[in-house]
Amino acid sequence: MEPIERHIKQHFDNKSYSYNEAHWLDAQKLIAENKRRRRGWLIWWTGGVSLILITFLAYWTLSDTTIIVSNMDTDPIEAVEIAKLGTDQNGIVNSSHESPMENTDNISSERVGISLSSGQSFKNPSTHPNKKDQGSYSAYSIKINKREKNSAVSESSDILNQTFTNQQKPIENSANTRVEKNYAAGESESAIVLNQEKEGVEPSELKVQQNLLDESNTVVTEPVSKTEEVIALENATGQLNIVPITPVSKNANFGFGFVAGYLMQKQFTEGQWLNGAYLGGRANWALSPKWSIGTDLSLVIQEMETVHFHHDVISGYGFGRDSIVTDLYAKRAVTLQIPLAVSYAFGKHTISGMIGSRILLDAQARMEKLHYTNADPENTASGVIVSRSTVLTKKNS
Amino acid sequence: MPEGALAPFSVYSGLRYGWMIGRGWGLETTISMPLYHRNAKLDIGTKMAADQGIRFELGVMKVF
Repeated sequence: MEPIERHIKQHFDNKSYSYNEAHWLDAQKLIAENKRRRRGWLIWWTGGVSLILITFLAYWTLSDTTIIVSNMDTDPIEAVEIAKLGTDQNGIVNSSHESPMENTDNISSERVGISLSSGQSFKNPSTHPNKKDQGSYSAYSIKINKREKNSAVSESSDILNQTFTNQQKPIENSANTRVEKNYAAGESESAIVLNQEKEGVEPSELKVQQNLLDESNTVVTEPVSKTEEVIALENATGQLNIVPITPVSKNANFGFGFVAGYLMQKQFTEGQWLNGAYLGGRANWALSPKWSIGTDLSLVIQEMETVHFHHDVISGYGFGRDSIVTDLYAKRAVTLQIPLAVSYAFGKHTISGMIGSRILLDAQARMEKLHYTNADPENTASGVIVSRSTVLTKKNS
Repeated sequence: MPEGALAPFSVYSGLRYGWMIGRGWGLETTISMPLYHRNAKLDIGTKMAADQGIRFELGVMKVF
C-alpha cells in the first residue's frame, strides 16, 4: 500500500464527515498563504540575478584596473630605502646603486603607495581564441613621491613588477601612457619608472632597455624597439628599465572557472515549463589549439512539476471505491549536475558536445488539494489537504 | 522506466554553444535531453520525475 493511500485511509475510512464552514475558511486562508509563498521565489530569483549582474559588472569594471590597496604616509627613511632602487650613472635602474633620493635632509614630504593588479586569461582555445590575449600576469607597483622642502621640484618613482605567461600587457606609468608589448610564455619582467616633474624643465634623457630570457633562461639585454607608444612614453617619462625576474609557470593548458545561469525545462509528462538556476565550478584542459575537454560541478535548484494522480480507495460509507484526485505541488528540487564536455573552438566561439549525470539531492513537495468522488453523486464530497498532516473535508449532501 | 527509492538520477546529453566576450568572461547556452532517468520516490509515496524533458540553459562563465 502506498503511503498516500495509507494516509488517506487513516483519515477517511470509518469516519463521518461533517461540514464546518470555519474549516473551509481556514483552508482558503492557508491556500492563499501558500500561493503568496510560491511567489516568494520570484523575489529571491530576481535578487539573485541582480546580484550576479552587479558582481559581473563590478568585476568587468575593476578587473584590469590597478587597485590601490594602501596609500600611506611612511617614515622618510623607509621610503628612501625603497627608493634606493634608483638609477645608475647611465640612467639604468639598478638596485645596487644609490638613489639621488637617499639624502633625506631636504625631504619635506614623501608618500608611498602600493598598488596591486592582476589579470589572468586561460590558454584554453575554447576560452581564449585570440592568442595575443592568452596568458596571465600579476603585478605590483610601489609608487614613491617626493617633494623637496621649499621647492617646486617633485620626483616620483614607480617600481613595477610584472610576471607574464603569454600575454599582451600594457606597461603603464605614472603619466598614464601605455606601451603594448607581446610577452612570450614564461617571460617575467619588472620595471622601475622614474619620473621627474620640474617646472620649466624638460624630462630627462630616456633610456629604455629590456632584459628578456632566451630559451636557455639566459638574460639577454636589448633595447626596446621604439614604437610610437614607446616614443610617447619617452616624452612623458624620465627613464624606463625592464629587468627580468623569475619566470612563471608555462603550464597554462589547465584552467578553471565558474558558471552560473538560468534554465528552463519542459517536462514531458505535464508539459510544464519549469524554471531553475545553477551555479558551479568548471575545469578545462586544452588538448590542442582547437580541442579541449572539460567538466562542471553545478548545483541546480529548480521547480518540479505539479503532479495530478488518482487513487482508488475503499469508501468509508461502504459505497464502493472513491476516486481520489490529488494535486501535488512540488516546490523545488536540488540537483547535482556533472557534465563531461568535449569542445571545439573556432574564433571566440565554442561548440561542445556533452554527456552527464544529474543526481537528485533533495526534493520538497506539498499536497494542496484532495478531491474524491463517489459513484453516488449524492455523496460526492471533496476535501482539501493543505499540508501533509492537516485534512479538512467537506461533504456535499 | 525503473524507479528507485534512493538517489534518483538521470543521464543526459546535450550541446553547448559558448561565446567568449573577453577577459575570461563568456556567455553560454545549452540544450540537453535526458537519455535515461530513474524516478524519485518522495516520502509521501508519490513518484516524482527526477529529470524529464528538454532543458535550455543560459548562463555566464568566467574562466581563469
